[in-house]
Amino acid sequence: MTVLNTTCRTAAFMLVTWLFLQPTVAQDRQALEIGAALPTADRTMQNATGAATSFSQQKGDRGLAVVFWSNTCPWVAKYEDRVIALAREYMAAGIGFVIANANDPGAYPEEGAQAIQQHASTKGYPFPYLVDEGSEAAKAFGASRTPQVFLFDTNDRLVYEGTVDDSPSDAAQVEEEYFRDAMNQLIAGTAISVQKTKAFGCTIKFY
Amino acid sequence: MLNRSSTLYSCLLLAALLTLAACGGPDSGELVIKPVSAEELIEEVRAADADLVVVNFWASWCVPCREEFPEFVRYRRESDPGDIRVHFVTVDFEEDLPFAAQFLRENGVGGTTFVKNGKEGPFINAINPAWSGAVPATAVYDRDGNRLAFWEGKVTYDQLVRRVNEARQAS
Repeated sequence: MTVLNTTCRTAAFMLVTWLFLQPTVAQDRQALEIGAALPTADRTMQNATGAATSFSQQKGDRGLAVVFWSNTCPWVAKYEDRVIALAREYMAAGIGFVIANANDPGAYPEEGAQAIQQHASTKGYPFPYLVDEGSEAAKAFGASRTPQVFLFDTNDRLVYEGTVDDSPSDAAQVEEEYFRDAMNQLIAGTAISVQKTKAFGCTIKFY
Repeated sequence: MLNRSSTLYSCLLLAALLTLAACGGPDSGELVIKPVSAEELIEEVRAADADLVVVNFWASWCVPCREEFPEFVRYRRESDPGDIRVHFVTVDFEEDLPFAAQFLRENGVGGTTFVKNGKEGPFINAINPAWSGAVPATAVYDRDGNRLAFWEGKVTYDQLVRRVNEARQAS
């Protein structure tokens, strides 16, 4: 009995210690490593149009770009026109484009399916805008920001992850176009010179 | 007579204290949002002439920033300015600065606060290469501008006090 009590007290002490040591601030998720396979490739997700699709179905002949998105994030708003322009240009060159909203609409209704549909329609997105229910894709990708870019090659291997360029707030000040450069190099079949950058943006509000 | 004198004394004392608070507090004076680069911000930290300087990075559109902000305002007011100073740095985009100013006023913040100047990347990396850029984020500096602590995410008042104390002890 004494041994049991001692064991129990020790276990309780260890549990309390462990709980005490847990970080009080949510840590960043670790994004996929370069070379990692496209996660949740065949998972069916709802498009803003109401149709069901998957990342695999959206792949282009030259690869696939997945960008995690938001209807309300000011950083996304800053990048919106730039991403639309890049999509128009590179979809024509054979890279599939999708954006995905992984924010919890329970806590943030303006990120829900209806708002997504309205947003895609108003903005005339040239790419599917997917509802990532349960944040399953974002969690599998290790995404933590909006916007955050993941670029995959034709073998579904990650070749670039991070931001669009080096000047979120002012398109006129852009000096480094990381996403464009990566797509150019992917199409050219050359090595991706910058494979990872810091994705500045809003945090994803996970389910 | 005694009662009247006591009442008068109390009123004068209260008025004096309120005047002192209004004139000398960290939030006295007209609200100014001063653009700073990361290097200029560190100069401001050194110029604060306090043992520790807490710098809170926030944005008017950021819900957790807005939620924790009153805790920092309270901490700023309750701290001895020679010991601890609290600076606010918004990372709002230029067009959102009126919202930032409105939010600061609603929280009773006056005097000089700051806004990030220039490109986000160099600013964020100069403040802390490990900073993802997410807000809220908070840094604690010593009087020489050395960063003692840094964290991302919302904290409560008690957590803030504890983390600043931990930073002090670790220095």
